[in-house]
Amino acid sequence: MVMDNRKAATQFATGLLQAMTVLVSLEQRAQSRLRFATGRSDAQSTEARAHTLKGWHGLLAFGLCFVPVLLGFVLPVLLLCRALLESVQSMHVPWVRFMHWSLNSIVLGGVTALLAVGLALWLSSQARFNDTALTRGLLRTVGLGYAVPGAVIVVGLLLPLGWLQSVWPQSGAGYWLTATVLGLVWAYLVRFVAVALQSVGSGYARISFTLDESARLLGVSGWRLVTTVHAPLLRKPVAVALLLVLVDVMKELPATLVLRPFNTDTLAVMAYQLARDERLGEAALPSLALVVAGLLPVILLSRTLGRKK
Amino acid sequence: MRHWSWAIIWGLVSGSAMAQVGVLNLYSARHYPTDEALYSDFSKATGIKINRVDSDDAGILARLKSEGSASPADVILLVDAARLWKGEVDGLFMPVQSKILESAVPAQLRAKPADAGGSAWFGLSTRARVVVYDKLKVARQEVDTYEKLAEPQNKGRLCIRSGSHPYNLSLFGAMTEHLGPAKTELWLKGLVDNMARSPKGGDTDQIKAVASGECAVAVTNTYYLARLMRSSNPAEKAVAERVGVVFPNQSSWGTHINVAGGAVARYSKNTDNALKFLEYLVSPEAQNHFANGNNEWPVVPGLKLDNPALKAMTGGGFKSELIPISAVGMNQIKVQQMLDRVGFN
Repeated sequence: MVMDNRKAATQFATGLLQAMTVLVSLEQRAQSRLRFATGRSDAQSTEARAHTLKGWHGLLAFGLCFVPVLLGFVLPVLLLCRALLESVQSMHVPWVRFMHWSLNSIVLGGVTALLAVGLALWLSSQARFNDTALTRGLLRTVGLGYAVPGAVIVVGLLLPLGWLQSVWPQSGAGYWLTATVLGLVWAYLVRFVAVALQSVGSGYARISFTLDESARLLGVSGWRLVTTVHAPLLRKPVAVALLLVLVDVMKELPATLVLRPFNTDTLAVMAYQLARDERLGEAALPSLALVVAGLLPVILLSRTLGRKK
Repeated sequence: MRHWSWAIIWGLVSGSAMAQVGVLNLYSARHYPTDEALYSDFSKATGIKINRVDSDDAGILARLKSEGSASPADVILLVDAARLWKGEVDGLFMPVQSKILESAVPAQLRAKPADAGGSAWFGLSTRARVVVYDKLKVARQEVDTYEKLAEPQNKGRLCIRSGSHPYNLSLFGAMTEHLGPAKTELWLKGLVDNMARSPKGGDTDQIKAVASGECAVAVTNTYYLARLMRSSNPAEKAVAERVGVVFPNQSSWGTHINVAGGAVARYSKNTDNALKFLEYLVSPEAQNHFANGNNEWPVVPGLKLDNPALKAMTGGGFKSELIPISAVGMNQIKVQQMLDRVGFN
């Protein structure tokens, strides 16, 4: 798209999509085979008991694991902090505009998270009630979305849109999809419903079918079953899904750069544009905000895993 | 569908882009915080609210193509001459007639007149592509033309950003026009042979590389050098002080300049406001802003420059090349193919 060669862009995007589909399918097949092997918890398993390293073994293991974190995260964050400090000292920090970017990021992320989780709940419940090859295939297809690069989604949206606009100019499709948030939220959903589906699907997997059968015996079925029986049990997975989608949308760049409507700059877009214009000091603030936002699910999930042990 | 659903949908589309009195919808590749003053001054003076979306040149053109006649854009601002030409050729701009614009912008810095009259785009500011060098290791006359950068005396000295970056594509497109394709390809090979390191980083990184001693000669835009010279950060000022600057080819065809310009979008619904905005951008106030606020060269001739960095660079003006912008645009694909052949990443 940058070299304005739409044919090449379509060819690359299609090839990428095909390659990604094959890889994800292989991964899903491998995962489904692993299910029985890891069905029991760590406390019960006789094979997967943690072995505590002590002395220099422990130090060496810690050091080897810490080096990538140090070089890939700690040092860059420190450099960003230093750049931000220099900007603060020279009074070049755009605080008011930063609040505007943050608000846009949170609103877009929040709206997408609600829609994505809603869709994921609906899809998961339908798959539970109608466990057919069609529903399983649909879930797998939706699940591929996360592996699709944002740029491919943009190509997949803009090229047919351009065609539709040329054959049916009165439709105004171009306007609806790029001048409003519709196109952008659509692109986010293509990518991130998969994230919500992963969390909600895992939550559903822990709800025994006997609960559904008992509820049906008491006259509760369909959507009432979802809202009265499943929903309370899915609170945590839904909360995790909302948070993960929110943060992922805040960090998303390629689709946001091209599809966002007027006056909708986000933290990711501004970090990119400031860095592209070689204003690294000013780029530090939105970049660090995204780092903090990205750490939230990591901290939350670490706590959850820690509690399970 | 419930009423609240329609309210939400309407809420999603309200505040954007139907034809409205007092509104201007801007697609801009200029994402400089200093331009905020430009937009707010225009809004204060005219009462016209500016809705803006920033992207890069290619993203803007791709978006315009996809939106077609439903595009809400009124004014397009781009920062690369070749992309301005591409937008014109692809029919994305509306040729407009304006005595103010035609008298302010020199003919070589605006689109050629369309058949039905008017010009598709107008240059608003320029940036020169210059050579910076280590004052202690390099003599000025060794690098005072673009051609000399490929000569043996500069072997192992050169730092330059990626050849495929629009600034370099435009420079190499201009060189193709001056030297012809065969000589330009040889020249590009010479540049590759003279590189001190593989192309990486932006223009500011090239200047810093010269100042740190990693290389002795670099190609950069005056915009980035001026920003370092005017920086409040002592370390950045020191970088600028360590390097000398030369405007190449002053004795021949002049220094290459890239043009940042504006156009009225082909399907603009607010053409009067769009024209008002473009005319405002060539006013002395706006041109002063480009020069003094954003370190660009104004297009309007005879404007008094009040930028100490730009003045220090030239000592009072420089000769810029006078080739048509269309030549730069038309040569881009040829240039990219040459870059691939000579291994210039």
